[in-house]
Amino acid sequence: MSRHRYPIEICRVFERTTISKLQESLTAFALKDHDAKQIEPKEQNGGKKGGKSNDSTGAKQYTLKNILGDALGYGPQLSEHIILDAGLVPTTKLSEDKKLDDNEIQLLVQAVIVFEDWLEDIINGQKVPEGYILMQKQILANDTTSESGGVKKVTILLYASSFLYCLMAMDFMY
Amino acid sequence: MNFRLPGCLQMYDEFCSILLNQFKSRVYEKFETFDAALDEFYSKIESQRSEQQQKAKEDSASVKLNKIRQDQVCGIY
Repeated sequence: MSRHRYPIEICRVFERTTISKLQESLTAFALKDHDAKQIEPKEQNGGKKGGKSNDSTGAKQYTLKNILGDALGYGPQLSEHIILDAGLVPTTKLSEDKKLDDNEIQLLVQAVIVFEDWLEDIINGQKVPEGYILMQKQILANDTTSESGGVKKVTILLYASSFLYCLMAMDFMY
Repeated sequence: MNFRLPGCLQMYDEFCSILLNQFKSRVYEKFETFDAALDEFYSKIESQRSEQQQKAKEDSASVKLNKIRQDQVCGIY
């Protein structure tokens, strides 16, 4: 939605991601680390968690979601969607020592193909996309009217709901 | 006084044209076309937001009222 500015500068003609390009970006991200460091200072959450294992080489650990997101250019949400489609965990940390195996790469390649099939059909006008509206987490409105504690709980619930969804989604996967 | 309309509980959050895997566990409404979903979303979101704000105001007012009431009752005895 409109939480961020729409990045019109990365507007481009649709091209299918080639398997070789994808394989290359998923395996050889050591080079990219240098470029990405300046571009992505906002990846604080990844850095915070990965901080403990960082050593003297200063190599930052990137999550699978970051790497695939950079490789495809469809944005983080679609990157996560594709990874989940492949049955992998988006928050998996990858580094020089811990790369994806061939089977996992194949799964990702398949998932990207599935998505790009869908996207191509939409772009060519062969298919009209469905629409989905996601609801906010329901607030239990029954017992909040009288107690002051109730109101506090509801506010906390509101703030925590997006975090809970993350946890729930993770739970579903395991 | 009682503000519990059924529509008041369901508040739209966002829309998308493909149901992302990470959203599958959430409550969602499906539409035949993306256009229909957008129409629905933007025709209701404003009123939902104002309803929610109104409700928040009412809740905080009734909390204040209850607090004052309690204080006064304590003062009497």
